[in-house]
Amino acid sequence: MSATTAMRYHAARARALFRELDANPDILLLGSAVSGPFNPDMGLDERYADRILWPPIAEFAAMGIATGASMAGLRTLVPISTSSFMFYGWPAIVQEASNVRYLSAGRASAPVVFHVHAGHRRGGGAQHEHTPHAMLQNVPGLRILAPGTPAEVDAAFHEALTGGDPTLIVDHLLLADAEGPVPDAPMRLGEPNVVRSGRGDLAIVSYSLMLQHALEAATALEADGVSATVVGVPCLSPMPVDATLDAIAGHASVLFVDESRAAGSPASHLAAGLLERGTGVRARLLCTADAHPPFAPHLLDAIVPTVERIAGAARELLGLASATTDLHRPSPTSR
Amino acid sequence: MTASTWPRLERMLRGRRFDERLIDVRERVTGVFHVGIGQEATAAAIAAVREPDDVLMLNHRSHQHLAANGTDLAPMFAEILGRDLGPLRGRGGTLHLCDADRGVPYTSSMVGGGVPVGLGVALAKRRRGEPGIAICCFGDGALGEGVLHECFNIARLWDLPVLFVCESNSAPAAGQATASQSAGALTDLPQAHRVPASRADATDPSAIDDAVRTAVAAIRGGGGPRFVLAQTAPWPGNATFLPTNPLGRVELSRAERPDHEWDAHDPILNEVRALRRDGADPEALRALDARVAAEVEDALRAALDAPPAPASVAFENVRASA
Repeated sequence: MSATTAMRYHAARARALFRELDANPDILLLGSAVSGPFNPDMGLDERYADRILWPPIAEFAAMGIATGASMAGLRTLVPISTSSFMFYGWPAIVQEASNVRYLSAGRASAPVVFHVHAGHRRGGGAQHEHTPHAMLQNVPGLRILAPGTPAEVDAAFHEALTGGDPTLIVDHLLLADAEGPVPDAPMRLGEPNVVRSGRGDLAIVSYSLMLQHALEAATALEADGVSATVVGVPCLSPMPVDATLDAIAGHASVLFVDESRAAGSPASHLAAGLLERGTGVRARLLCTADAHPPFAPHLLDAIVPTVERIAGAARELLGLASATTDLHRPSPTSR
Repeated sequence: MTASTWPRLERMLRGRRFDERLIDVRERVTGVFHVGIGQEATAAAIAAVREPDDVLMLNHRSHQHLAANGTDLAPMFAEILGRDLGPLRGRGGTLHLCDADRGVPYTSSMVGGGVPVGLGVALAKRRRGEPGIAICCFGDGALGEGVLHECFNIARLWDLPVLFVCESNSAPAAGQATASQSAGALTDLPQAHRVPASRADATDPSAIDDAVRTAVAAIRGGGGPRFVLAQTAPWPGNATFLPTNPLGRVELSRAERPDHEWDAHDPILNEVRALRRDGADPEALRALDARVAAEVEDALRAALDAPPAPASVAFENVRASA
């Protein structure tokens, strides 16, 4: 085991990016909003001004240029900031970057990195709180990394900036203050990350911000006598379905928590894998409701998985509470 | 003779005879394809100035470019027919023909989609101090896509070594595809971003050759991006889906005895006319044509005889690793 350092998520992210920039002079950033609009500024602009180009607000061109540059020897990173802006550059990731290796029979590759802040940051509303990773997991050729701990974000920048595939880093503004140990040598993200080991009553499987919420819910569930295991899945594509199910084998109940909507979500992909195993495990999905993200925080809380809702879903799953009349759950007639 | 010393006529005839035979066997092609008939002079002009370090971003209409650049014709036919002999072993088809050994690593068929990718290649070359430029080819329709305008802007802002080649095969009306552009002339669009632009008659091989040479020399000299509008006359066989060949195989004798109004706009017949004016021996031209036609015939036969790829190929080159 390598040594670890206790860090906050945003500090681990800055340290990881700086380490990769120092290690490889061919890394070039198109834009610099890695800490997004609201996280503590990491000082990137001052420290690495000569490694940053600022394109005009032209996401398709910027993402396409980054793709082409990555085919010709640069390691390009595009900090897109709020993930919604990526939709203007959607063709560059869905149609160009993801296809270069395949449509060149491996003679070329485009290991470009796109970084977005996704999920519900609160106060963003219907156009600034999206979960594009759920859409992009249907695109072959991409790697999608969704870190949920300081150690995972450390590894995400390492894997993205040293790997061979076009990679999306799905970041989350509300993870900034999360604390955790960061190993000196980056962990590997292609495997499930057991962040809390329980006795086998319940496994909660999640990623990104929801992984932190799951940990909080697991702590709350101790008062109910529940000892929950919490497993992170930081690589959403290609997703290690079998390894994740192996990691939760032996648990009688499994709760999949996902900030995406359930249809076509990473959580539903994992749940389908569990169903195919036919192990008789009791399982439930807890995802964002099929509704737009409202601006007002109390309205947003009505549709997303909160810590309380995760704990409540766990209690229902374990038979410790009866089903609630939570608006978040579709009624039988609405299905 | 190596590809770099081919006469212009040979570069053009390779594309023309290829596409004519492809239309002959169109029933054997799955899906759609697009031919470059009438646009061969632009392809030959680019091929003549392309250096080994240059990258060529083509599009859905690429046959004439690859043929002009000297790509083996058998793998081209094979890819279009879905056979293992193709560069992508049948995974790409006509829309994604490529030849990494001749500057075409990857071909996007999204309208305008390959243009920013070409700019990125140019950016990487300049930043790494490497030789070579990017040549981005697109049709006049691509000027309706916002990304082209984004690219003109950024190419100028960053002075990228990029040649934009707009292969216009719409009916020219004062240089503009009037149905889809409000601009007075297509060259106004890059010029609004201070990308110098020229317009050339691409049915005249010498004219388009001059325009491309001048633009590429400026780019190689550090002058930043250039735009060339290569204006052709619409070829009557083009269709949204499968092309037909209403004019039949173009015999070189039609240079002197035109069969059809379009023959006056045929860059190959125009090249023959120019060569004849310069005193070329018609027998030598016929012999060159016969040699190219035989090469095409052999290539088509080899492609038709090639087996399909095994199903396992469908799972290769998806990612660098699992």
